[in-house]
Amino acid sequence: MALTLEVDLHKMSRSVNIAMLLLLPVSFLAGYFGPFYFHFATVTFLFLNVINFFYMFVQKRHTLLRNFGVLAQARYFIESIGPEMRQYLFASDTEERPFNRQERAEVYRKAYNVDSAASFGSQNEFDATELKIRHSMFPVPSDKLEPFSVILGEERKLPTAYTINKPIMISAMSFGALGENAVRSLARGAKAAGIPMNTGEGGYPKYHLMEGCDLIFQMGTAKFGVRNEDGSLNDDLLRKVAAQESIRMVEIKLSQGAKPGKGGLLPKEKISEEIAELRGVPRDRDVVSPPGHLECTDAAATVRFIGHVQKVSGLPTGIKLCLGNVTEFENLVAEMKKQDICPDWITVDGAEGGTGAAPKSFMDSVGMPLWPGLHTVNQTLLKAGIRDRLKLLASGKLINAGRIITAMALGADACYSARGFMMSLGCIQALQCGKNTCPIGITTHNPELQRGLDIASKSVRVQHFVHNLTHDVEQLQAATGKRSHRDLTVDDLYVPEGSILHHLVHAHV
Amino acid sequence: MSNPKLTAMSSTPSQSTSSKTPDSLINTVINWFLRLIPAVIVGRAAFMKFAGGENVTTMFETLEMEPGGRILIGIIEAICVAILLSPRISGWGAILCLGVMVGAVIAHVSVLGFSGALGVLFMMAIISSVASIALIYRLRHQVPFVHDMFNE
Repeated sequence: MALTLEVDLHKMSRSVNIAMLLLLPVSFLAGYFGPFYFHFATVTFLFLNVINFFYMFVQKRHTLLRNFGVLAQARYFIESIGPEMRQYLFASDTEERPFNRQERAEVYRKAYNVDSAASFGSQNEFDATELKIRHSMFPVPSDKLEPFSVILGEERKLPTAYTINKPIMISAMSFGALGENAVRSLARGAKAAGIPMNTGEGGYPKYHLMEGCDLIFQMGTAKFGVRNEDGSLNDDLLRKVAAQESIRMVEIKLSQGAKPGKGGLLPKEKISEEIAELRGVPRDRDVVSPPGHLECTDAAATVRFIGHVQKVSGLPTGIKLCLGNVTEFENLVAEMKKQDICPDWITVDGAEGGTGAAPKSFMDSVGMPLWPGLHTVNQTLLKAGIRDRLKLLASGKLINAGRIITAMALGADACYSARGFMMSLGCIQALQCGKNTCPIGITTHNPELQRGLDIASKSVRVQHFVHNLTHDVEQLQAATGKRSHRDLTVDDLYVPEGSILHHLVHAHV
Repeated sequence: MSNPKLTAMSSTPSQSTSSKTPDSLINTVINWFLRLIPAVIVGRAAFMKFAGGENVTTMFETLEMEPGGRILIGIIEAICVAILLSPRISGWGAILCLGVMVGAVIAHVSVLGFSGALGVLFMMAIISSVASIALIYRLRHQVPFVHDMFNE
C-alpha cells in the first residue's frame, strides 16, 4: 500500500458509524460525572444512532443509506445543491444549456437597458461549426434602412391583416405554463413595445387580455377555449374569441419544437383551482393535450381545416409546426396549392425550442433543429411556388440579433421568442418550469413566489428588451449591406463545412 | 372515436402520493391533538423556567446548571413550542421536543430521581416523548431524513 494520504470513503463511513456508537456511552459518562451539559451530546448521539439503525437495518429503498448509514446522506445533500453550485461557481460562461451565461447576460443587459459592449474578443469557438453572418464591405447607413414591416394576411387582402413593425414577437406561453404576474408583465411590456403576443394553447387568455396588447390566439390540439366536448372545433366559440378586440390573429398549433408528435403538457403541480376551472380539467392529474388535431387526419383534411378556421375567424390565420418528415410537409404544401388555401403564415419551430414541461425523450430526440428545418420549409415553399402567398416565422432560441438575422437569411420574415422574454423578466434558468417552484415567480402559481415579480417594473424590462434587440437586428442587417430584411438570403451566411446546414445549402444551390 | 390516438384529451394517472398522509378531517384532528399535548406540557415547563420558582431553581442547582442552563433550556423549549404549533414544520418541532424530553429523562434517571413532584414531571416528559414520536412518524414527509428511515 502506498504511503500517501488518501480518503477511503468506505472506511471513513464505517469508522464514523462505530465512533458514533462509542461516543454515546462516552458522552453519557461525561455528563454523569462531569457537567450535565454533556448530555446535549448524549441526546444527539442517541438520535444519530437510532437514525443509523433504521437506515442500515430497516429501510431497503436506498442502497447507499443501507450500506453506509447517515454519512451517505452527504451524497444526496451535496448532489441536491449541485445544479446551483455548478451554475454559481463552476460552469464556464459558455457551457451551460440551453442558454449559457453569456447568452443570458446579453438578454439581461438589453432588458436592463445597459450597454452591451464586450471586451477583448469573442468567447465563441471560431473553428467550430457555428454559422456566421457575412458582412458587406459597403454597409447601409442606419438612416437608409427600410423600416421593418411585415403584414400578416396581406396575401388574402384581409381587412383584418395585421402589420408587425418589430422583428420579434412573444411566443406561445399560456396562463398555466406561466403565472398571472408573468403573463401580465409580458402583456403590458408587449403593448408598450408595440408587438403582439401569442396566448399559448392553454385555456382562455384571461390575464393576456388584461393589459390590452394585441394577441395571437393559439389553438392547440386540445383547443382550449374553442372546443366541443369531443375535442373538435366549436365554430361559435371561435367566432366569439375572434370577435374580441385584442385578438388579432389565430395560430393553429400542429406541433411544437420541444415535443413534436406530442400534445401540450401541464403538470398537475401547476393546476391551480383557477386553471382547472378555466380549462375545465381535473386537478389531480397532468393535463395532456392530444398529439394531433381531431380534424387533421391527413394533408387534405389539414388544409381544409386551415381554410375553415380562416373563414370562421375572419382573422389572419397561420400554422405552427416543427418539421419532421419532409415528404409529409411537401404533400401538405402540394395540397395547399391544390385546394388553393394557404395559411397566412407558417411558424417553423426548431427542436431546440423551449417548453414548460415535455417528456425528456421528446425534448431531446425528436424533430428537426431550426436552421435545417426553416431552410427546408423555405426551399419547399419556393419550389412549390407558393412562398409569396404566405409569411414564414421562426422560433427556437432566437434570443439575440445574430440568431434572428440568421433565421431571416434562411427565409423567416419575423421571429418569435419565449424564453428570451422570460429572461427579460429575470428568468435565471433554474429549470423548474414544470414543478410550480420557479424561484423567479414566472412559471409558478404560488403567490409567495409570484410576489417578487413586480408587473410595473418587469414590463419595462420587456419593453427595453424589444427595443434593444430590434436595434441590434437593424445594426446587423445594415452590416450585411441589405436595406430590407427581405433581401437577406442564405448567401449572407457563412456556413462552415461541419455545420448541419452545409449539405442542405449546397444541395439546393 | 375511430383513432385512439386522437382522443379529445387524455390524462396520465397521477403518480404515487404515498409520501403524504391523507388530509382527512380525522387525521388533521389527530395531528393537532398530538401537537397540543407536548406543546402544552413543554410550554408550561418553559414558562416555569423563565419564572424561576424555587422548585425549578433547586432542580437546576442539583444539575449544576443554574441559572444559565435553566434559561438556555427554557429558550429551547419555547422555540420548540413555536415550531410544534406551525403546522407545516411540526415534524421538526417534534424532533426538537423529543430531544429535550430525552434530556429530561436522562436527568431524572441519572440525578434527580422520581420522588414527589419530580415523579409527575417525569411522567409529563414520558407523555410528551410518546406524543412526539407519534408525531414524528405521522409527519415524516416533512422531514426528509426521517422519511428516508422507512421503506416508501
